Amino acid sequence: MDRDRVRELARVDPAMVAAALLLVGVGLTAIYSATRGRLLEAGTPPTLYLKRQAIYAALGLAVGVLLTVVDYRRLKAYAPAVYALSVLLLLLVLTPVGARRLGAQRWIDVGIFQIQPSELAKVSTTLALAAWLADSPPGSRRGLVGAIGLVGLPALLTFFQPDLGTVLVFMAVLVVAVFLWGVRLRTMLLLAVTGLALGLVALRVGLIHDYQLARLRAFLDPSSDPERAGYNLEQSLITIGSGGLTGKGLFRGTQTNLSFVPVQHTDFIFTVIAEEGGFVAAAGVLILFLVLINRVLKATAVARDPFGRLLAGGVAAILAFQLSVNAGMTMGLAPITGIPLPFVSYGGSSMVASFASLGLVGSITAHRLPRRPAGRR
Amino acid sequence: MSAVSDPHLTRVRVLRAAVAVAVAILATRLWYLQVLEGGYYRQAALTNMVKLVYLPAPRGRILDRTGRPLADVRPSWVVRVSRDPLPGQEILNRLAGVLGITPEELKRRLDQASARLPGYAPAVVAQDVPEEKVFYLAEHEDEFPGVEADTVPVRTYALGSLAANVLGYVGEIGKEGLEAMRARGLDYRPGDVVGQYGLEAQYETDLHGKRGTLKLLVNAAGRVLRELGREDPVPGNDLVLTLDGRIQALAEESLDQTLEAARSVYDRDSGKRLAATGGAVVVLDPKTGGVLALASRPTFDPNEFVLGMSAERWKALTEGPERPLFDRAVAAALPPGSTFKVVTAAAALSSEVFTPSTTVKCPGFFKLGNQTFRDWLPSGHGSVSLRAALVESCDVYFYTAGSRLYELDEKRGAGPGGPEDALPAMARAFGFGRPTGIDLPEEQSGLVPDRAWLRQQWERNRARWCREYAERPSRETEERCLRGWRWYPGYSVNMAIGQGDLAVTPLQLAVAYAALANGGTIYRPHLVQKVVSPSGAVIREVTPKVGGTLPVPPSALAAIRASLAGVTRPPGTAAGAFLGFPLDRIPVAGKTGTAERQGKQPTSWFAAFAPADDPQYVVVAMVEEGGHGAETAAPLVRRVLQGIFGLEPTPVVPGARAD
Repeated sequence: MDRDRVRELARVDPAMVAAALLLVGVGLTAIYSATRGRLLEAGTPPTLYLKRQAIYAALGLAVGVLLTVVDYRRLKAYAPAVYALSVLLLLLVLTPVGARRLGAQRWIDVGIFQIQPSELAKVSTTLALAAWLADSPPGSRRGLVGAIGLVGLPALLTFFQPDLGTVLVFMAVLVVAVFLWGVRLRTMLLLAVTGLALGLVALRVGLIHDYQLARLRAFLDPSSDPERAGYNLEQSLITIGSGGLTGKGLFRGTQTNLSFVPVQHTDFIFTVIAEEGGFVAAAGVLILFLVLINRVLKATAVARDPFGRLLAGGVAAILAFQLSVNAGMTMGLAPITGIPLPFVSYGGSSMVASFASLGLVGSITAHRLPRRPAGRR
Repeated sequence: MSAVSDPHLTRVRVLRAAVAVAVAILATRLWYLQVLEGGYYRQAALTNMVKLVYLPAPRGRILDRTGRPLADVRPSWVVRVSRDPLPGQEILNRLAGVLGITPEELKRRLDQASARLPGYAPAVVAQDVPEEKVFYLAEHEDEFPGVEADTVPVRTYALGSLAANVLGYVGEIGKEGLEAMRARGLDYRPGDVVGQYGLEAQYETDLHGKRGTLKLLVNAAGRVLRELGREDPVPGNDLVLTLDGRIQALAEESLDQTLEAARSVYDRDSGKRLAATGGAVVVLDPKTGGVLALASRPTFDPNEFVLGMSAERWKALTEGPERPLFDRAVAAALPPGSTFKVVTAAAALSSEVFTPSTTVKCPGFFKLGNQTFRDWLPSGHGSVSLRAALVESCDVYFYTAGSRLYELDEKRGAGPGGPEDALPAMARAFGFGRPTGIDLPEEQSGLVPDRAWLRQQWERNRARWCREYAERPSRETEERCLRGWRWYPGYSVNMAIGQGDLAVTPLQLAVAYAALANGGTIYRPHLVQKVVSPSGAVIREVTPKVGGTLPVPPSALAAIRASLAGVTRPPGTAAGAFLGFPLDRIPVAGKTGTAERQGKQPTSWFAAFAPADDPQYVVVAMVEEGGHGAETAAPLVRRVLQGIFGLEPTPVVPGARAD
């Protein structure tokens, strides 16, 4: 059995793993650069965030390896339970148990650290969605309605935190999974129109908060209110733009050192890389993501069953959408939402969830061939 | 399990393409921001880090001729609140508590300051903060992030309202002011304090100084990390005035006392007490044109303006009948009454319609055609020569002179296109009808009516006048429409005693009497003697400027001067006012004036110079609705002269009613 396990692990795509680990390395460096000045000023060790993130990464890696070793098909049976647990946690966030930070209720305090259930819900929902669709006849109405309900519930709960960004990630997973499942294009189009209409209704009846509207306006016109919503974006653009082709040098970013960008080590980590490493480093990060996502999509292509295909497709959707929205918002291409850059942004929940999803993909590539019967060893 | 179906692979390919497109868009945007627009953002990052703080320059002082500061600078504590980022509401509430204002008031001040200030400059929320509050804020610095206190130099008028109308006041530069300054190529910024009135406005660029700058390295929280550079402000230059603080105080005090005393006097003609709504006193050095005192009432306290004032207070100062900001000494243009008779005398003597010994019979009235002009003394003055006419202010003598001058004008064909009218020409030679050129921004030019002016008026108003004639035909409207341009002899006769449309300012009258006193030189009056740099170097010195010479033979001027010396002694019109004044030691020459005004009590005038044989001072007083010249203005001038010559100033008791 051990030899089998090793052989299976060896089938895992090395390029995919390398890309992820490189992104973690870049992230650690950027986090250190973004936080050390402030920490020093506060009289704490400058490596505080760096160390924590390293621990998160190690934890995430362990979870990823564990999930790679386990045959993903065996996880299918646990999908409903994991899904139920994350929905429960999402509900818990909305109760007084949830912790409020930066005007939104997204965290649960668990003693020494806080967890962000919506990060874990992304993975568990993808898992449950893949399991459901894999067992439904492609293109069936029942399958589609079930899929919408499955994604809709956590999405709705996340919406009330409010965390609009994660809601959109759920939507992206739904769209990609349903697309790979084999729904007719006409149905896809209908879904898109309905989604858009729902969004407009939410806007009309005031379900969208003022600050979200302000951010949207700031996105459309950064100079409209530079003191509040537009400030983030303006500073973000200055930070990225001033990096130039080759950057100002590691730890030499003036914008970063003087903390002009709020939440720079989490949601705006991309600006640190772009300022200090310039276009060269920032484009390098984009290429690493391109490699990573392509490798995940390759798993989609080679997976031996619909469950694997859909699971890998969902993970690709999460990664691609988070990259686009996170990097896009720092450059003014997308509205500002609280979406982290996978593997790079500071944060334990995001890190563990990212590695977990990658572990699922690893399991798919590792177990893409049928295991030889024991007797023929 | 079968191999992956083809449609599945196609869909995966679609996703692959979508991801490639997304990454390509991100990379393109990155290239645009970092490489194409990199220079712009590098500059933006630089200005992000560096904050410029402007250090206001202390304004130059205004000193009287003895070096006594009339306008000075004092340090004042101000509290500023950072606007980038704005401190939290909790901090603002705490700050409001320390400052003793409501959080709403603090918010209002913040908004008000924000509306005016560009960029993220911290907003001043409190001025003249007591030191103990500043110390409290400094001691509890940690509880007030984003709040700072420091001192700024502010204007202070040490002697309160003394010479307020001369000094003027300062205030924050307005939008138009800013544009005007920038149009002149001057580096002014919103929030700059500038002179708004008086000398403060006239000499703004001398007084302003040059602001300094402080270059600071700051972080996003606005916290100063390091000073990068500093340019200290250069204080403005000082103004040394010709004004004498002592004489100014004396003039103002005398004016106040006179107004108060006059208000208890019953005026027989109007059947009411004298209104004495305001007045002015001018003291000039007749040998240079230097202004020794320039008083105007009602007045104001310029200190009120330093920290800004409420709209209601501003309204009270500028609107309504009192108008304290209206500098009556240089801007009140009124008929001069009999004080003008010296001009008529000069015109009559120099055009030789009269000689000093010409006598005129005065029965108390003067007939011109079917018109009768009355003398102020119904019984008349008997047979009068120049001396008696001036001493007793005989109107008939000057009516006659005016009528003769009219005839002369007619003979010479004076008027538009021809020679100048004799009396108006002499008035202009004395400096009337145009600004004296004093270094104050509010000066008015008054009016000297003549044939040309009358025709101009008629041409301008003819359409309206003729419309009125068409609608309501009457002798009067017909006259105005058809012959409104015509200069009737009555006009010359009326003007000869300083009435009619003639209007002069107290300062103009003082300049005219100075010329009379000094032998015929019209000086341009000035307040500033020199401009001195903070280190004491003289930057500019004002030398007396001659604006013209009277076209009057010296003998005629001497005759007029000699006559005026008799006015303050019996039987002169001002003899009552100068009762007890040591005229033998300090002879005073002067002339009373009582100018009638439609619907109002007469304006009381007195113009004088002393000592009469070697004039050192010219003093002119004007009291609005003050009654006769002899009863109000003459004792006022006497009191000022008493003070100037070191005598005990005696109370102003409104004296005899004589013109």
